[in-house]
Amino acid sequence: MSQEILRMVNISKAFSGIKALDNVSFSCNQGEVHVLAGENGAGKSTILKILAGIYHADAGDINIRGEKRKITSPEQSQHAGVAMVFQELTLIDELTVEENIFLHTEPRNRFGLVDRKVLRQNTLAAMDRFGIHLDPGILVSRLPVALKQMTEILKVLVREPEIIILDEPTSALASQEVQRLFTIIENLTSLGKSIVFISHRLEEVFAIGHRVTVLKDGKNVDTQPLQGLDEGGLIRMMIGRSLEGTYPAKTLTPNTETVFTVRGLTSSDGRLNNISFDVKRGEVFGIAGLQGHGQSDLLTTIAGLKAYNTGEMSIQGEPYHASHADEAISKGVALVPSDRKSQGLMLDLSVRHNAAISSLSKRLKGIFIDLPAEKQFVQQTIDMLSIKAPNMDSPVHTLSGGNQQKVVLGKMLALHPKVILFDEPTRGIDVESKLEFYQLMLQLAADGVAVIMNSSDLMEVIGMCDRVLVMYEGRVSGILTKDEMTEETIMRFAMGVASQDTPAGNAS
Amino acid sequence: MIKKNDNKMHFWQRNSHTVLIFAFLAVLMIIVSLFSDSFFTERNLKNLVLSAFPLLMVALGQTLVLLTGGIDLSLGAIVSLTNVSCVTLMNTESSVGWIPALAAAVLIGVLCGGLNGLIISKGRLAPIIVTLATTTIFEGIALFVMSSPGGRVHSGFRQFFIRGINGYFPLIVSIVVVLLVRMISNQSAYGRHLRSLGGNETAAYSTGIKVDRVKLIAYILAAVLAALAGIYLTARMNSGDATVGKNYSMNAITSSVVGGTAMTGAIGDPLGTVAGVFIVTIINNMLNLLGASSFYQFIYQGGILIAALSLSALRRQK
Repeated sequence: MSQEILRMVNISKAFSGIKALDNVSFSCNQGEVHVLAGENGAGKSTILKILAGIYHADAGDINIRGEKRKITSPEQSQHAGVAMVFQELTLIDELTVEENIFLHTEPRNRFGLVDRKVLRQNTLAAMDRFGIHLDPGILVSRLPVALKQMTEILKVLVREPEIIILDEPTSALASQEVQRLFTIIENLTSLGKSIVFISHRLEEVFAIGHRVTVLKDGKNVDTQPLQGLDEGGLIRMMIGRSLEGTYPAKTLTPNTETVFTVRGLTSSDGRLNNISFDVKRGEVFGIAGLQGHGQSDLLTTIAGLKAYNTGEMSIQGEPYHASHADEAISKGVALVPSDRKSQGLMLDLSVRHNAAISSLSKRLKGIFIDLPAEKQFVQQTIDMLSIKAPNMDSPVHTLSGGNQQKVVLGKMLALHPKVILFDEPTRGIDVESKLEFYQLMLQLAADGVAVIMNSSDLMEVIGMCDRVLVMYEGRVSGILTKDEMTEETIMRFAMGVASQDTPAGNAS
Repeated sequence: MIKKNDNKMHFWQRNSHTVLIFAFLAVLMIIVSLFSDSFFTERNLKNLVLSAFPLLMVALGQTLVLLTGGIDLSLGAIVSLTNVSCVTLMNTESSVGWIPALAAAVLIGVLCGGLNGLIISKGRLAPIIVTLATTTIFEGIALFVMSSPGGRVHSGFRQFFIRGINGYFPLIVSIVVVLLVRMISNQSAYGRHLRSLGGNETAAYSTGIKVDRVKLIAYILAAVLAALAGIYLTARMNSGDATVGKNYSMNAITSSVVGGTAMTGAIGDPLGTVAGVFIVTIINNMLNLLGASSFYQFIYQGGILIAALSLSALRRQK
């Protein structure tokens, strides 16, 4: 058995009196990918932040290579050989890849200036060693998210840490890029590095992890080797009971009545090219494709956040056009954006403020807000979506990701939209909230709302959608029905191997 | 799930800073009264309101702008400009000669605020730079209107403004304006929009809020409040002065921040600003009484702003 490199023993941590971690322990061996699993709020991120020196444990020991280490700051953590790749990227857009990687540790020449030649050599050497190949001289601002993340990882790796913490590294990546990341991780473990990994995508956990430690409500549930465990078993450990399945069963078959139509939607920047589709009453309509092929642009364009050149849209037969967000909303089109923190929420403001903001005009008494009515409305939203929050005046940043996302949804549902657009609705939220989200989507579809969902999680698309529109380079590469949907077929369309003219079966 | 009967906690969560800052104001007043036994007299308290009035108006305006996540450095210059315009346009012979002057001052406020708001919202430019630039424009126009301090003020207007309703007129106006501004910021849909901008402009826009219009109105409201300060100073000084407003911009920022308004926007309460204004004014008066030179006052004003900013940064870290 390989050598144990990290052992965290009986770690406890409370935030303003509420226990986030209660005697949590886990260990990680050299060359192991150790997964931390659990719902949002289970304490996974908290224990890793303690390891990274961002939080300070109230009690418990951290042993690295059998030696007890005191970690009270990020510097001490780095010194102990721990490195964390952050969810929020820490790169400087205006610098190149190599400048970012060696920021603060640039090689200098005898005049004290950056030695560009050595910098390039060191960068290429690091890229070879870790199997991450990027253009070292390109500005980070010009990289897509996936490659930014690779740069971020490389920046961490050049410090030669022994333990690497990856907190949901795949949440912004499409399947192809996830594969690439996994190749890098395998390379790292073969170099003897240890990885502590958090992901909400179960298939990834099984694809890359060796052992899993499950946390629930800040306590250890169990640590087990992933071999011999199946998804159902892991979910049962995480939620403490069995879910009927990851996706809710559909009771309603869509009928032929069209609730939303798009014809020939084209934008001048080339992001969208002649997009046409219909959404039927009662169906969940999916949008899929690889990162950056226009899926998000399609949703934001429909929601009036981006302009388009030609094309027509109609809602329940009525022509629809919006050049501003407020216009789209007044015509019944609501977007639940992909990044709730930057696009959906006012994080410092209360749950109440955020939930009520879109529908203020419905609760006015003269020119002022009817505060009791507002309170009642917010309470109803909280109950309906079972939002877990200390109280409705708590700032929304104190909520977990899943609950924040529910606040965004509640805000949009208050508008009683006719068309609702979900852009990556379950990114970074826990299994139980996901299921609740799926049920809500089905309910909305059953109520006659046109439900459109863009997701980079193919299993989610297959599990939820009645039909899926696959995009490739801003065009409709294909529209697949439930029977035609498999991961493989969607990928063929998404990579442009198959298209509407050459159906998946006949291609290649 | 949220329990229904934790109203006490709600109140504390929403108002903790405001309560604390009023407690601080009370302590400050008690300390000052130890040094001067005339502090808690009706006459002195009336004087306190009189001297705090213009800063109160400007600070309430600044609070509205700060809530949007913006800042208005030109409010002081607007005070000066409306002051000299008001004096210049006043007809001291006619009994209603003050009406057109007041109307003009308010109109000038609307125009100045409108200019700030339009450049900031339509031009998508940083408020701090835009209002820094318009400051010199407004100051220049003020000096053009009245190059040296002077002018004559309508006596009936002056009497009423300072001594009207047994000398309670400024207090009544203060209370009305404070209540109005607070209701706008805390209870109107517009106030929610204002805070949403400061909270997250992108999210506000995609929620359907007319971001540009909300901003424009905020700068206009602030400028109109600055115009009220300019009009009031006309009555109190009995003359016009193109540099009278110079210190108000910064003192208004200090008062708002001391009162709990976040420089980053969204969070704050006009009631807290009221306490902030009185704290700043009382300390200033105390320094005057102690015969401290105006140099020290400037140094103290800078110091207190930094202290207040540090405190609010610490609060955010928690």
